[in-house]
Amino acid sequence: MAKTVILGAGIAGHTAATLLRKKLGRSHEIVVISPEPEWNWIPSNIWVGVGSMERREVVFPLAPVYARIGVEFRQGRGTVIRPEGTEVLPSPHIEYTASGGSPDAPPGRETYDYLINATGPKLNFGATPGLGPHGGHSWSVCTADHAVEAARAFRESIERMKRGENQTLVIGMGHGTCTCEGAAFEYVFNVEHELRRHGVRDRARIIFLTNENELGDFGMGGLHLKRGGYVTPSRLFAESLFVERGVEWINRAHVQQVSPGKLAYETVEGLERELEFDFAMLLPPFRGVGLSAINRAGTDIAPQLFAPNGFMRVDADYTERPFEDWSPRDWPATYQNPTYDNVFAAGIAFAPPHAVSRPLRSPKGTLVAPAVPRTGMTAGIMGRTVAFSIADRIQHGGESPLHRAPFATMGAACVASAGKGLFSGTAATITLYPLVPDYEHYEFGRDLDYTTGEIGLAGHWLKHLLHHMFIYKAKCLPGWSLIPE
Amino acid sequence: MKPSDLNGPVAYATVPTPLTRFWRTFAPYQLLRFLVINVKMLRLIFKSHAPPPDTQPR
Repeated sequence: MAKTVILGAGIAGHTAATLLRKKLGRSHEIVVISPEPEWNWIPSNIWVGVGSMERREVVFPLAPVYARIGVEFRQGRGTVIRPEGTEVLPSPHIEYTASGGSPDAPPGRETYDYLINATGPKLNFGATPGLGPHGGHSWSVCTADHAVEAARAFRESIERMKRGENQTLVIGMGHGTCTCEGAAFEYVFNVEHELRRHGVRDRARIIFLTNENELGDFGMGGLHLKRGGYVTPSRLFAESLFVERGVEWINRAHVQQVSPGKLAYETVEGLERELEFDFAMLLPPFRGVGLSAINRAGTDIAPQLFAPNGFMRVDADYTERPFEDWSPRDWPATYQNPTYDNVFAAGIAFAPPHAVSRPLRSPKGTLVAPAVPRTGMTAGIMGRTVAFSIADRIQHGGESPLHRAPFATMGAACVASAGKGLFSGTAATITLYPLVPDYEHYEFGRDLDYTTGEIGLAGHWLKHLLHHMFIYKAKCLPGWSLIPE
Repeated sequence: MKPSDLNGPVAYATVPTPLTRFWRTFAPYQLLRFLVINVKMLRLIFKSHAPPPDTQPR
């Protein structure tokens, strides 16, 4: 009997756990270790963050689902990987601290034959002084609980506007190296929609503060769309939305510090400014969760397993190159760690070889470089690929060829809503292929037949459909595996 | 557009016409678009799940 341990129960980890169980039957052991007791459909946190959806609608408890399908669940946070074991416990194993129970609970250990690192990111609020909801002065929608807090503060801001006060709302990215600009993009238009719905839009100044080179970059270097007989950059598509809704924007910006009601930022052009606000939702940059790794001899081998940003090294080409020499071939396909062939990383936990969007520096040398977004669809495909590789090796021997899903040839879909009603508001629906621009095969870096964007009510319906469909799938209800990642 | 916008980025942005805005919320047309977007998404998903074999590492 083989044992697979999965760190993390987000989209990648949960997909891997459920598909492994389906492929292997109950004859092999699968253990999921996650610090959170609930699964969260993160895209809908945006709706929670403006108060148009309840927290309970975007989460569900993991333990009953895992009990039903035969997956062991440990609520805890992985701390140390020992891929060669120790003198006392010679099998490869992971150490973790229990969470959610008694703080005095002893640390746990799980031996493994295969390990999937799907921890997701550490929300690195500490990168910017004063950033974040806990000890800082801005809000976040990265987790369901953060979104609830943001909604409460946003509601207070609306109440002040109803009493006749003017408010400045700043929404965007809290550091020059942030990712997931699409989430902030969606949040700002939901905020704008809610202000209209409450009849206080004229009292609000809304500013989108972003590290993107241009609006519509989304950390993916932007994209091109066929529209009206032209091939147009996504910048036009995005700017049009901002102008139409009266939302101001500041791009190429790095937030230096957030203070109560005020933030300081610098831009690539060298401007250093302060911005006063009444409400700020600023996303943090990501880094690895801080796992350490120790070999049999007791030596720290974290540099072999992890990139300097804390994410796990996989089969990518991490050679440093200038932007002009970046290639889709730098990106991974199997997500296997090059040092330990029974260790994989999926979802946000794998280390990207480089950004996709061109990195820029301010005259002071501050890096302004949007990191590449690893969307739910890509995380799900990575989780599936890794699960199938491990299942094959367990069932057919350790030399079975690995499944491949090159990150560079994945597409991405983004539905950015503005409002939640079935017949009010609109949503921007964007599809693109491939995620990593490929100028060898496509003139504009992407296949224009698969790279599309449009705005309309239909996007809202799609967002609702995706919300219910993926929560259904994650609960492993009848027919769940027919729904693609 | 206000005169104060003429020197800012707003002056260089495309804006939708009233007809375009109408189509965005006209439910019968959006029902058609919903079907079209779903087909696009499915094509994208199938393409992402079946990557071309010629993407080899360096």
